[in-house]
Amino acid sequence: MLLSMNSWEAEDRGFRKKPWPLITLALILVAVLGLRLFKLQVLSWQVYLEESDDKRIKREVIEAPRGYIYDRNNVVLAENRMSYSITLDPFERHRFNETVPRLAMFLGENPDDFTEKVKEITYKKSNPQKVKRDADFRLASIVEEHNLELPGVVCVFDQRRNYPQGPLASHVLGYIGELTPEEHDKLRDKGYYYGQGIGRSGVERMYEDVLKGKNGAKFEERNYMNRVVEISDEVEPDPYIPGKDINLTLDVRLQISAEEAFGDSVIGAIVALNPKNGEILVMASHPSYDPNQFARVMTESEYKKLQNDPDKPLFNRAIQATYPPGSPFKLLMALTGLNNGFTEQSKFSPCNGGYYFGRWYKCWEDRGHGSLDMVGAIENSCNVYFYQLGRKIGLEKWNDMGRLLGIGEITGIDLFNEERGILPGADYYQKVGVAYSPGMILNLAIGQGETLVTVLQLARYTGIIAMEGLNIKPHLNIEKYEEPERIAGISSHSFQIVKLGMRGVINSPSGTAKTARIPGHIIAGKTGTAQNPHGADHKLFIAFAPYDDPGIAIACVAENAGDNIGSLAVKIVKQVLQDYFTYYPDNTVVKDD
Amino acid sequence: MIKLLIDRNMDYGLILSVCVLMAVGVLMIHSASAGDNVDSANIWQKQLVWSIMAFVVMISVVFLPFKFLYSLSYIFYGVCLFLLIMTEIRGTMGGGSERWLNFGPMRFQPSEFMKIATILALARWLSSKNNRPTSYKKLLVPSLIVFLPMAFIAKQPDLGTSLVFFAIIFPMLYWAGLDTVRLFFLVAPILSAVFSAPFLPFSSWVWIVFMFVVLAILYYSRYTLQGMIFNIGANIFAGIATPYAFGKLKPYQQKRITTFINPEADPLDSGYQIINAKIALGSGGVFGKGLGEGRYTELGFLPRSHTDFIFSVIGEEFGFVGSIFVLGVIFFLVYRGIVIASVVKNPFMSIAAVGISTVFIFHMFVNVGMVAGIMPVTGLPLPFISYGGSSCMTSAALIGLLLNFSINRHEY
Repeated sequence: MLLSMNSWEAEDRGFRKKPWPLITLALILVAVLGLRLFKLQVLSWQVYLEESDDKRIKREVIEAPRGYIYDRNNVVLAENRMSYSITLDPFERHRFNETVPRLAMFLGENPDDFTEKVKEITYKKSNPQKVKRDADFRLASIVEEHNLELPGVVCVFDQRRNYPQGPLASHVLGYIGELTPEEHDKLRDKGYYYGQGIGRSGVERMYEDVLKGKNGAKFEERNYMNRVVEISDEVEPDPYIPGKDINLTLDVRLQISAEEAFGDSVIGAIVALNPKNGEILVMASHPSYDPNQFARVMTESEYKKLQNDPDKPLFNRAIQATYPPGSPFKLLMALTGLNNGFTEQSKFSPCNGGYYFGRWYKCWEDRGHGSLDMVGAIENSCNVYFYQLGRKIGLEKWNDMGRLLGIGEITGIDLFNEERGILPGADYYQKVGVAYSPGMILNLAIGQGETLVTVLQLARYTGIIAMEGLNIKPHLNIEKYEEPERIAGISSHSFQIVKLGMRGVINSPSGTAKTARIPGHIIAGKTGTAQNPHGADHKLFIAFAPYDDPGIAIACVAENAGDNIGSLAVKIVKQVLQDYFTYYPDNTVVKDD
Repeated sequence: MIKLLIDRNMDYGLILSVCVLMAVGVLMIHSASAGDNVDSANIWQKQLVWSIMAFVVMISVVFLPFKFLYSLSYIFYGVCLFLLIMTEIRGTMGGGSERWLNFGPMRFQPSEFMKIATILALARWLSSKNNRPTSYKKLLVPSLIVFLPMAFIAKQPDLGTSLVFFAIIFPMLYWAGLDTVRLFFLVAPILSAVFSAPFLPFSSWVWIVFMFVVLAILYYSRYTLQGMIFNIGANIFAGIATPYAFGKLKPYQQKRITTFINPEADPLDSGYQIINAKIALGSGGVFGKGLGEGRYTELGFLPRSHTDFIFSVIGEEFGFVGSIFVLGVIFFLVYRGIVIASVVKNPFMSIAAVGISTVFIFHMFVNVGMVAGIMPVTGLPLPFISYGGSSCMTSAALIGLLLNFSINRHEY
């Protein structure tokens, strides 16, 4: 067979081909590949380089430290503290069978529950995950000591919000909560990372943008499993900008005296402000809560408990609750009458215990007050006097005056969810579909009826009267001061007569709040009772002091304190005033500048 | 023996090219496995050992008397086919696909040896004067020689390797004397099917134009009426049956075919590979990121980067310049193979050399085309560079045959 091949070349010319067609074909194939590679590597090179960097280099947020919150005297109200978190590296997953129960033992947790929890947290994760947040120093050091027996367990530092004063002024400060996934989607562009704390209420929420600063970032190189390999030196890290600190107008000393005066059982609210510049000195709402609860890892049940508490501890009664103003509103009617010429200081009216207008409207003093002038009527809180005045003045003028004093409008304080209350006028009755009848003004004149105010509004109302028409803007951030203007159209004379009456409430023998007297100081005020259809009446008290040069205006509501005949609210206010006089002996709460 | 090595017909260019490719392979496997965990970090050392062994195999093949190769080719073919069938049976009984056969500590893929055996057997058959493919009837035995192993390998399933067998037959037939017109009509129905396939990006105009080309060539071929009708029929049938058959498939089967053709449609599985391969390749740019600087591959974004997708590592680290260099070296092997085919006097050697060249160009085109995203994902390695002993040995043995033919170019 081999031999038969010898002569093939000569015989068959069709056999041996020229090589060029095959070489050309091979060249075409190489050229096709070459062109394709040219497109990928030369023309679209940058697109692929960017894609490879995007997949490889991941941005890791560095949280900017949150700004502190201080009171007016630089007492710390909110700060950051170091906390320890214990993390578990899923890379050591194959040893979890031993590690996790041992770690559970050190942490004092149920091994089965803990294993379950770890499984959930580390599921499909490739970088260390926090399995125990906010561990104390003792736990952290135990874990560090045993790190040889605990492969993959590492302690890391965290920053946590801390409120060193505990529940003090909690409604003003608010609290921090972790971002939910939905919120994170919305706020990602503002630099928040998933799980970052964000102000949920109070000043923490109002000044979130100031306090939070700007998060920085470092760039990490990660492998295909998203595990960090190293900190990338190819991209410059973004430095963070720490949050700004805030000084509040609050005075912690007065805040403490107010909250202590409330005690444990009283429900209500108090607001004290500087009537010259609108700085809130005290704002307390009872019952309160400890904002540290939110800064720690809060369980669902803890939160539910706070939310479902019938006394609503999360609710800021100073600005979110509205009450019928009661007798302090007689001052509004007095002011309207005086300013519009319906009455004068020396004009006397008789009171014999009641007033007939379609039906009997009673005075709180069954025997009647006899003949009273304006000052006497305020001192004695005579209903009949104001029934008569109200009849004369009518709804419209009264409503105008109320609006000038900021009733039925938000004060614009730097907190969320402020209620505006109700100042009934013709439009109001039209809206709610109640036909206004002239008898209604009688109830409104003594602060009952449809009118609803917040404690903050009452405090501001007191301040405006004290300063004879200075239209202050209540605020909590000390930098948010706005120069107040005088309210046009109310004469000082009218205010002065009303103030005389308020002075008598405390200082005259027939006054209704003689217990509030503090030797050496002249206080002016007005007591009140707000009728409560759901239970015992609420007690109110407004006051300002010193009489000649007002430095503080206070309003206080004690809920369901009807049987105490006003003394509870008066007692609380008196306590605050007493401390005010102690801490500000020269009445220097106003800085002269 | 020394005399042989310094023979003036010894093709040192081929030897050098093989060494270059092997070195590139070891370096790239080192880069590809650098970021991995301990158990695969030293695979470049294994590849180095295999490369050295393969080199020894290559040189050993040079010393085999070519007459010995010629006479044993049918037996070798038979033994390899038997082993292939054995693997197939064992795989079926084991309940999974099986490409490997164990011989003590050694494991090898019979399909790799089958490549050598088929080239040699086909070359021997075609080298006989009586078997010259001058008519369609004479294509029967060559087709059988190729389709038997092809069918078994396709069943493994190893579609890529089985397509190698399909590819080598046409250049070998051409070289053995099949006239161009017949060759065209042999390939035409396949092209007709390709152009009409609904899952490929060809407009139906391409198929219609192609049919006119077929008709024109038929007209000038002076075939008998019978032959013309048969050829036209075959082409039209292929063009109609392909879309029809595809339409009859179940949706999941259709999807399997479309993702095979266009893997990027399925970004989770094979599409994941292709997307990442293109990123690695493209991000290298013109000059590459430098040796050992291919972070994308090192960080493990590209699975199988040391085997079938090794070319993307070359692209990332050495860029367009490096990629073209490697393509150039492989093309040089192919070029030398074709030149050897045309200078050797013995038809057996000549036809075998064409077959061997075809294997290399096919491997290169399918593998690099796959990495670059213009060919479907099949498991074809890049010769001498992809990680793996069997592939490296086989390639070396094939080059060894070329060297052998080159030295024996004057023998009959």
